[in-house]
Amino acid sequence: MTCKYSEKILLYFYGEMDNAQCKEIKEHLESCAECKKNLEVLRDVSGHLDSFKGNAPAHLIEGLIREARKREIWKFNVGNIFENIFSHWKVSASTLVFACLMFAVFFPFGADKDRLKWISNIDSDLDGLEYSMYEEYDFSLGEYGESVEDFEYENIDDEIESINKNRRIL
Amino acid sequence: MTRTLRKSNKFNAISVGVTDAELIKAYKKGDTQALEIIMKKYEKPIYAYLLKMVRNADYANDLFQEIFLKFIKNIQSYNEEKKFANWIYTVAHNAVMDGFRKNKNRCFESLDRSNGEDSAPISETMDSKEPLPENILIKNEINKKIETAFEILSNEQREVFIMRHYWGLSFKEIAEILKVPIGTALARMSRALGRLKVEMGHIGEAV
Ligand SMILES: [Zn+2]
Repeated sequence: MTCKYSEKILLYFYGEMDNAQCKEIKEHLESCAECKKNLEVLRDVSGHLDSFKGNAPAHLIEGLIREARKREIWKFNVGNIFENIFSHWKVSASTLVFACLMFAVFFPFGADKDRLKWISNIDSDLDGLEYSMYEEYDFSLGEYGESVEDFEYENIDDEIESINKNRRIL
Repeated sequence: MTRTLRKSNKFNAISVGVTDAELIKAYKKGDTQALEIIMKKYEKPIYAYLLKMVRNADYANDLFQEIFLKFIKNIQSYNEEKKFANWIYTVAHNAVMDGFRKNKNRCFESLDRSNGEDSAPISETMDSKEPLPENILIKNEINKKIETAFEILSNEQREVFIMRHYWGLSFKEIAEILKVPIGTALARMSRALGRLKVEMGHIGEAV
């Protein structure tokens, strides 16, 4: 028959009991040979387990640290790029939008030769328009030039005439 | 770099007072020295458990690496608010039990005898600091008997003994890791003790 205290002895040995329970066990141990023997075996086994060093071979820890460092280096190089992108997201986003815009504007024209021809047609039309405007401008300038001439000489002549007239009077 | 080093020095100086959560937090930020401290802290309980459970040094080494690699690989998703001890002990327990299931047909009891050339037997890794020369024989005899007695225990019985001793967990915590009621954990150990007592019954007569 197993004593009903056999499991309580375990809790007692490993210090998982309060003072009142401890007292009860101590009293029981006075009278129960089975529990006394159990406690003795428990102490022997415990001493045996204590004598075990249990150190893992050094190369295991070193290998694991090496592996962790390798991962850190990777994380530092690649992870940092992403970290920078995300931490300065406003700059990154506006740069991206600008790049997309430039791409959208230049890529389709650069890629399509017909559209490029269309663009050069517009360009020559614009040249023609510019030339006609130039001519128009030149013409008006001539007209304007005449009036300038009138102003320059007619006025001066009038003035000389009126001076001479005044002189004659004098 | 300088920041990491400074932090590491801090841990070297007061690593005793640093919590596991703080060490893990530092390691998450890239401080591998914090990882080293935490590994050294759990090295003995984990390795002793593995060696006592599988009783084969090579296999224990493999499992030891597997357990900590799992931690290293999943560090970024690891929640440091969780109790690290419970996490790593659960991983160790699962690794050993998975191994037992996978190697159902392999005889684990004979492992430490069959690999004598490559790895040191468990008895050789015992603490050599014996108190008095006249006690050496007696102690060795007792240790040998206990080791033999331990071999006849079932994996479950042996495990509770080892967890309670090397991990210093309460029976309640052990029951949580094993996912059994506390009464089951206590019953397993009580039965283990009964068997050890029978096996070791004639220690006194032998020495
Ligand atoms: Zn009793």
